[in-house]
Amino acid sequence: MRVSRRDFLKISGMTAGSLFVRELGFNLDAIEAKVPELKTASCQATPTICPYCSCGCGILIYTKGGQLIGSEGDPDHPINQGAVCSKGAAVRQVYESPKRFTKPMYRAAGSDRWEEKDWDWMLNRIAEKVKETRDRYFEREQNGITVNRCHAIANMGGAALDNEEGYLLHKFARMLGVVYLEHQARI
Amino acid sequence: MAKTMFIDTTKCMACRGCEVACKNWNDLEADIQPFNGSYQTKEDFATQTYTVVKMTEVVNNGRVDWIFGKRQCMHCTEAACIMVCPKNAIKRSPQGAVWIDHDLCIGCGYCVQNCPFGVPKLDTVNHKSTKCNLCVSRIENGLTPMCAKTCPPGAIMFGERQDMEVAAHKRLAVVKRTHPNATIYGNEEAGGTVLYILTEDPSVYGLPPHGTQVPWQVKFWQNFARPIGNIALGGTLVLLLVAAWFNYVQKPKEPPVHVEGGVK
Repeated sequence: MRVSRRDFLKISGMTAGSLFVRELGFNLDAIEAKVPELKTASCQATPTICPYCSCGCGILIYTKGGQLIGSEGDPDHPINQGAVCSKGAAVRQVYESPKRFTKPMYRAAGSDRWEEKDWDWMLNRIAEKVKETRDRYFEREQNGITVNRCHAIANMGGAALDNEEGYLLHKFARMLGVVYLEHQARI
Repeated sequence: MAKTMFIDTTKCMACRGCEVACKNWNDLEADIQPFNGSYQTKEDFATQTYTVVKMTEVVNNGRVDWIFGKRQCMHCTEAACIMVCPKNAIKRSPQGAVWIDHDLCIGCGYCVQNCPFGVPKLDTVNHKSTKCNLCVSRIENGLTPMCAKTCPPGAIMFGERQDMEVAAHKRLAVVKRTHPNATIYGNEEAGGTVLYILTEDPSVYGLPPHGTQVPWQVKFWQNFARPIGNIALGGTLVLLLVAAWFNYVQKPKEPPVHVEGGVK
């Protein structure tokens, strides 16, 4: 492009003039003092308990219109007082992760793949197997002593169970005659 | 008065809760890297990783010390990134956070090249510079940064600068009993930064030496080159206005003859 001296002066003038506009006294303080909005400002905070280890740290889940916005330690919780470790801080992924299972998965004995099943089928299947195993292996007595036990079933509890769940599970397992009543944290 | 963070590396247990909480708050994707022989999962900061717990093994008198250094933006009082940013996209919030306004950032990478601590990383997909923002929206609303809030052993503290300095000196006296070489880092580096208690030389933590300041080239650019540029621009405008005044207001007696390429 060939630029004459006059064009060059015009271009310089327009450039300097347009850049000069912002010096005309617009008050930019408000824009410059702007900080990002607090993303949890209008969210609903729902307290929950961390599902991982047995400490049972309190966590607040922030939601807005049914959408999960974030999670953080519950500062009012007596155990963790707002702190959470890397697992507790990642609790949001229990809900959000693409790897999350949303349906029960079933792998038949001897099969090499998992298949989706609905809950009714799953619960019935579990109940059938429990009944069948218990009926087959239940012992009433041994060496003349009443034992009322079933060696063929074991129960594994998890650290995420709370008192009430643990109590019910314990009652249920004892009712079946389970003696191998174990806990994840003891393994 | 600005607030600051005080990181006591001797209390850190490297649970990396801060890393995860940071990603949670800032909605950053996981950055899964291959195992490289250490529990440290991230080599360095990245566009998706604003804070990293660095783990180093040091042998002292036949005893192995496993050093944990939680690293993030130092939020310098004399911040090189603020000085070099051509769009003024990096700002200091009233509470002392140095943060990048992504609406203004053009991704030129000047801050990446000039940070003495190697903190900002350039997102080459979105053309934005990224770094820890000290959870600016939280601290401006009276909350603590996410990492300081989540830290289970309380190794990350956040508060008024004077209070943090007092806390650091108190803690240093305790740490000195077991680690005689312990020092406070961040009192005078780059005009004052996030405070650390270090038990080893700063290089072990990947930090520049004690007393690091903003390079003189950056100060020269900020205090001299940029004002000169503005003066040159203003000078051009003034001179052109003067020229226009002579040309159009004080018209020459004979009208000029226009020909191709200018005035004869």
